[in-house]
Amino acid sequence: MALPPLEPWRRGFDGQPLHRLLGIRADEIGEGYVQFLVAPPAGSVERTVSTLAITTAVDLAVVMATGTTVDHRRESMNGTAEINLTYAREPGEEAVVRATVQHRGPALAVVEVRVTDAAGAAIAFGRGTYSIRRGAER
Amino acid sequence: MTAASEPRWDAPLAEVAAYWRERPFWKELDIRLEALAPGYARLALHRNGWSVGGVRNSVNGGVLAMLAESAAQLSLRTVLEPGGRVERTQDLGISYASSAVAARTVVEARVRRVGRTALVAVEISDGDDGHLNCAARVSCLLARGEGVS
Repeated sequence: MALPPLEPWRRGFDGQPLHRLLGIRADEIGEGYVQFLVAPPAGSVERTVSTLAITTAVDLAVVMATGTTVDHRRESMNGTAEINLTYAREPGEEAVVRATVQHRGPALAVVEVRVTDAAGAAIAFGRGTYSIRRGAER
Repeated sequence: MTAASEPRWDAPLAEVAAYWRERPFWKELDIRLEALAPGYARLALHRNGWSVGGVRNSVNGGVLAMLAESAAQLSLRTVLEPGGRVERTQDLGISYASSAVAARTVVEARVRRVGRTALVAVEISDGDDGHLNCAARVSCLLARGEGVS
C-alpha cells in the first residue's frame, strides 16, 4: 500500500470531530505501524487522559496499522475482530498509542499495541486482530 | 459543561440520565442512559455523524469499545458500598460479531463479580432486531468505602 504523505494525513486525522472530541492526534505512520498521541481535549476540565479515549485510540490504531499493509487493489478491510487491552497503571497527562502489525496473513492481521507515557513508561498493553477480505473494496 | 454533581444511581432515572446526557462524549455521540438496576446498566447509542466511521458504514469499533467500558463502569456504580468508587478500568476484551449499522445500538452491562477487582459482561446489539454486534468483558479496580476492611 502507498503510505499517505505525513502532514496531510495528520491534518485529515486531527480534523475529524470524533478525534478532536477525544483528544486523539495523529503522530507517525509507516508500513505496519501507526502512532497516536492522546491528551485531554482543548477546553476540557480533565487533567489526565481518560481510559475511554485510549480505548478508542487503540481500536483506531489497530485499524490504521493494518490498513498500511493492505493492497486495496486486491484486498479490502473487513473490520476489527477482537481487541484486548490491559492497563498497568492509570494514565497521566498524555498517552502515546503505538500499534505495530506483528503478523499479516491472507485473512487476518495481528497487531500489538503499546500505550506509554511521553517518557516511554508503560500504561497499557493491547492486542488486536483485524479481518481482511480478498477482493478490492467496492 | 454542567457543574452539577453526579446523582446517586438510585435517584429517579430521568435525573441520572439527564446528568450523563450533559457529559461531552454522551452529548455529541447521542448516548442515552435507558435503564439502571442493581448490577445492570443499559445505554443506547443513537447513530449520528460522530459515531460512524467503521467499515460498511457501521459504528466505529473504538466507539463500541468505549461504550462497553462506559456501561461497565455505570453498572458497577449500582453495586458500590457507601464511599466506594470505581478506581479505573484494568482490562477490556471485546469481540466484534457483526457490524453495528442500526439507528439505535443497545449496550447492556451485567456485573458478574464484585471485589477489589470487579468483572462485568457487556453485550452490544442491534436496536432493531436484537442481533449481537459485540461481546465484551471489562474488569475494573474498585476502591473500598471508608470503614470497610
